[in-house]
Amino acid sequence: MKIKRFCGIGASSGIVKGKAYLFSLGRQMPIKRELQEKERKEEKAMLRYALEKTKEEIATVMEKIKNDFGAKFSEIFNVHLALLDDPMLIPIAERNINKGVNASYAFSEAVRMVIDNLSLHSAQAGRTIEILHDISAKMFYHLGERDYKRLEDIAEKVILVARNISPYDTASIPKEKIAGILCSMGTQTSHAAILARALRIPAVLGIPDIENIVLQDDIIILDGRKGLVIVNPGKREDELYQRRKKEEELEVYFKEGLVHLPPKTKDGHRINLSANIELADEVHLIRKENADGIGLFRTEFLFVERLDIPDEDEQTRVYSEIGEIAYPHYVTIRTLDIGEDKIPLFLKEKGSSSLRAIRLLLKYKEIFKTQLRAILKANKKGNIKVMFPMVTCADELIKAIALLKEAKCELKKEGVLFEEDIEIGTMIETPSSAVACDTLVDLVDFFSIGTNDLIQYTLVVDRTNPDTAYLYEPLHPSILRLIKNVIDVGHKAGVWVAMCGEMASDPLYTPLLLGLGIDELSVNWDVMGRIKKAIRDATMDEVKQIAEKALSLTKPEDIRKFLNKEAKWKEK
Amino acid sequence: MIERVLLVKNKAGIHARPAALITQVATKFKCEVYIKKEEIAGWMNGKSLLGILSLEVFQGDRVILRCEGEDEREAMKSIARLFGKRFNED
Repeated sequence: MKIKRFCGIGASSGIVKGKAYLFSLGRQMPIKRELQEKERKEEKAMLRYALEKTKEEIATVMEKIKNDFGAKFSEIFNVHLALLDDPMLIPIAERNINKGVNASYAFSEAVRMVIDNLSLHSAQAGRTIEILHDISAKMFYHLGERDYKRLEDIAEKVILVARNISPYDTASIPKEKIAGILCSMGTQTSHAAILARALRIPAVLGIPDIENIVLQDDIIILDGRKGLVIVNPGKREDELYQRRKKEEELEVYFKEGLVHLPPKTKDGHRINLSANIELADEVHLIRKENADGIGLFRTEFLFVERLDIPDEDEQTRVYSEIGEIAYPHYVTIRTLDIGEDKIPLFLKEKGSSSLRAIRLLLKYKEIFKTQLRAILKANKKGNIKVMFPMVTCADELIKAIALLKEAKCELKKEGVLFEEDIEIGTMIETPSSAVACDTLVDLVDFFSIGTNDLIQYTLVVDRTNPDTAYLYEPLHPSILRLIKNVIDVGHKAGVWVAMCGEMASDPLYTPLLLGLGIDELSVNWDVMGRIKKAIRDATMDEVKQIAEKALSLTKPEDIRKFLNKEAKWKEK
Repeated sequence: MIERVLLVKNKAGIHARPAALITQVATKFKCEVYIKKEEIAGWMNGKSLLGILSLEVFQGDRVILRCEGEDEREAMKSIARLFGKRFNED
């Protein structure tokens, strides 16, 4: 068997090895069978039976979600039910049966006709088509097409391979049987990613066509942090896997031993070690893991995969809860960073690579202001900071800050009590903002370097494209110089400089970042122990020399070799 | 037969969720329900979510609702109320 390697989006960390379980969403066509005249009645009865069964199944899931998450989350299934009852679906399938084909084929033809009729370019239709595929899978199953696998039927622990995972599957996923998730669709903020992280299942998304490349029962190694997937691994890959597994075990050891010690270098230089979170629940870990705060709270989960905009009350509730649980520690709330493939359904924008994050918010000011009002209202104890993503120039920041001021004035007029003095920060994740951060520095209280986008935009690398993914290189001299510039400019103006990208979460880079003078590393929970260990093993004299040397080298691979040689955290 | 022009005020327009709401209400009534975009020809079955979605109705669009049958007034009132309440969205 040929070994195949892929690089996708690491959506949920952890490394696993397991058997592939292909999970199709009804994309295959059922086999066509010609019917005798007398069989038609029976096929129609079967169709009706499958319809009732499917509706029952959906109603059960709706009830479960309603109880677990609230009525708002179960509402999407009204669409499933309405589609099943639609005069353009079942009646057409019945007509197809009358023409003399079996029920499942008749139904699949009806679905195909409907999809052809919907404009494929509208965001509205996109979601409906996903739902149509979703209900098709259920219908086919009840029509006896048992090749259509259902999550409920998985018997052993597997790596789920699918095109996408729908909200329906999300609700019925048997956690104990899923070792990993691998999808061709999806990004860091998609439903499947958020779910996988919440359930602590390693996941890699965004590898085009993977569901057609992987075969049933293929052995897969999946590294959810790096986004690596190896299909049918050989001996060498297996060894690598074992080594990484061991590293993970070491991680637990580090965590246990270090959790109550501060992130301080040997010679007493203290930096902040905070966490990136995206589900409100994760904030509870702040005490267990003894973090200094939340360096990045992504708010996308509130917005994606839903059909309406979360209102001010709902947002205020979520932010307030997080602020309260974290108190007295800080929480850095990043305003909605959404766009490109993830244009929410309530906007009619077509996907565009440049209309995202702050640009999208400045276009839809009401959505932006609602979020800012909610953040302000939640900041009762003054431990919440606000941070703007994807800034490229001062003008964007000025507009955002003006809107924040406007929100403050409104709230004051309305007599709402809140801590007015909120810290403002900006992500530095575009080459423009990193080069010209001196034009931004007077506007903010802190910078937070987002390395994922910074590297992607600076090196013109699409991480999800296997042809260029290898060019994604945090140690490229341009990246190191940009980081140095941001830290130097920030410090000269007395502005705090944090880093919340993936680069902060890899202990190999910790000495270098310390040497460059970073004030805060905001990392994923699962690497906190290792990063802390790297900090505690360092002295400022050493790391300054490391940074200096790294900056003097011209080839990324030389810098990497050098850092590997210097990495003390690897010993023991 | 009665007709009314309705303005779509919710930000997201008539996407799947509002469309499902319309069909849910419409199917409760015996009368026929039709819907179309004001400036565009082509009536769609108001009891069909797929029909409504194919109209691609966004915020600010005006649609014409037509009800035809014995309980047409009640149906019109109930469906128009959904538009008025912005489908409980914003």
